[in-house]
Amino acid sequence: MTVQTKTKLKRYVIYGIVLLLAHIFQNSLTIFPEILSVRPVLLISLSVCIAMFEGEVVGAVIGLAVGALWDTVTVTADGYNALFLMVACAFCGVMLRIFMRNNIMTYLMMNTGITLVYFMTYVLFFITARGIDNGTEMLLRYYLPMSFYSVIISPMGYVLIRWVNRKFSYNYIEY
Amino acid sequence: MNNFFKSTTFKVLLAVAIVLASASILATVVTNSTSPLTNVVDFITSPLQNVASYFSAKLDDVTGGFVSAQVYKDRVVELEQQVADYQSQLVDYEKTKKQLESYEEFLGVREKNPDYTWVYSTIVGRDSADIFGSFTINKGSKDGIKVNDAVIYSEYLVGVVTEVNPTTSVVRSVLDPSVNVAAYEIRTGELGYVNTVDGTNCRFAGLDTKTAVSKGGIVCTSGTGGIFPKDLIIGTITVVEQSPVELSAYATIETAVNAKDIHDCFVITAFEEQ
Repeated sequence: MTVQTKTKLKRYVIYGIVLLLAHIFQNSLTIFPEILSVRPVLLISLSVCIAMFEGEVVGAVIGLAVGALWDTVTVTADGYNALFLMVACAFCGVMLRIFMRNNIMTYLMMNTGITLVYFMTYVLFFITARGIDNGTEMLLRYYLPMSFYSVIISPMGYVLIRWVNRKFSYNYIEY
Repeated sequence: MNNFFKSTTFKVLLAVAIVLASASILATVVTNSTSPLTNVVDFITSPLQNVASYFSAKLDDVTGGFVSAQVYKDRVVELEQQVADYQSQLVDYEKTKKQLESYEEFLGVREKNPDYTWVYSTIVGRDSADIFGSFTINKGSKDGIKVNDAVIYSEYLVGVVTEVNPTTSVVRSVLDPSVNVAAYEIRTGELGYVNTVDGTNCRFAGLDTKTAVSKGGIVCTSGTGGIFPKDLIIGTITVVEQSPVELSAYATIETAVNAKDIHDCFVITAFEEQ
């Protein structure tokens, strides 16, 4: 195994641990305080962030894995999270490769857009389409505050992933 | 030696010893108190003892000031550790007390409903994107859980199992719009069904336009359909209104238990009317 492969492997293992912890903090432990009766969603922000650093292919695989993990605790959106995160992460990777630079501003822009799209489609497919009334009210009262809460704390994730990416990158190894 | 035994001194000493021994025996047997010798000695020595005790106490006070700071520091650390231990024990005690109360409640339900077969489970996950409070429990088909099993907390209905995996199950709460429960109000006996429209409160719908149910009424499962056992409490009526679209009335119910606040529950896997 080459040094490059070993470094890459270490990086992916750390990504895996971070995402697993994020899944636990998001869906099992209430580590973040509830604000306006909502808790943040960490998995979207972290998946987007990893896709921005790793590119569209790795991003899509990570998005698929994270979404599948999230789907294990979901009731209504079984399979939706895996599909959405795979597509979103691949999109981020492509956008970064073709149009954008990777910095905190572009990350916030991408993350905000994808988080909003996620919750809007969620309300559309799993609330309005199920014939449940007050979908718009739920979006405004519950899902938009959740989106903003998630986006506000997301720079912490960006800093962490950027550090991991730099620390465990072949180009940064000191001999 | 022979001269000593014959001397007056010996005879006096012997007489005194006999007298004292006799007095001691007599005092012990008759009055059950101390011997005269002890009293005499005590009378003589007690002022001395008092003086010694006084000086001893004073001396302790003086020497107390010479205890090194390290001794006090160690003592403080030791006491702080003791306080931390006691606080930890207090937390454990409170947790155990709460758990015991919960078990007592469940035991009460069990005694009232001996026909129930149930499985205790812990909530291991919640979908944070789900507004309706669905959750995942740590028991599945391996433990006998099936789809449509009722999930309760004490004697309150929490939800229904909708997905079963070998080791986990997913539960939809009564606040989920896809869950409909046949119910009745216990005072009037009026039948209806409970569902939700906004994920925050339940609605007891299908009531007569001239319904007698009123605020404060308790709504329970009616057992119709065989999914939920009869008489599980769903909640309390907060307001009764006429439906704007149907020729019926409905009551808004505040659920007795919020699925988002509980950490464990019981799944009823079988009951008599099923």
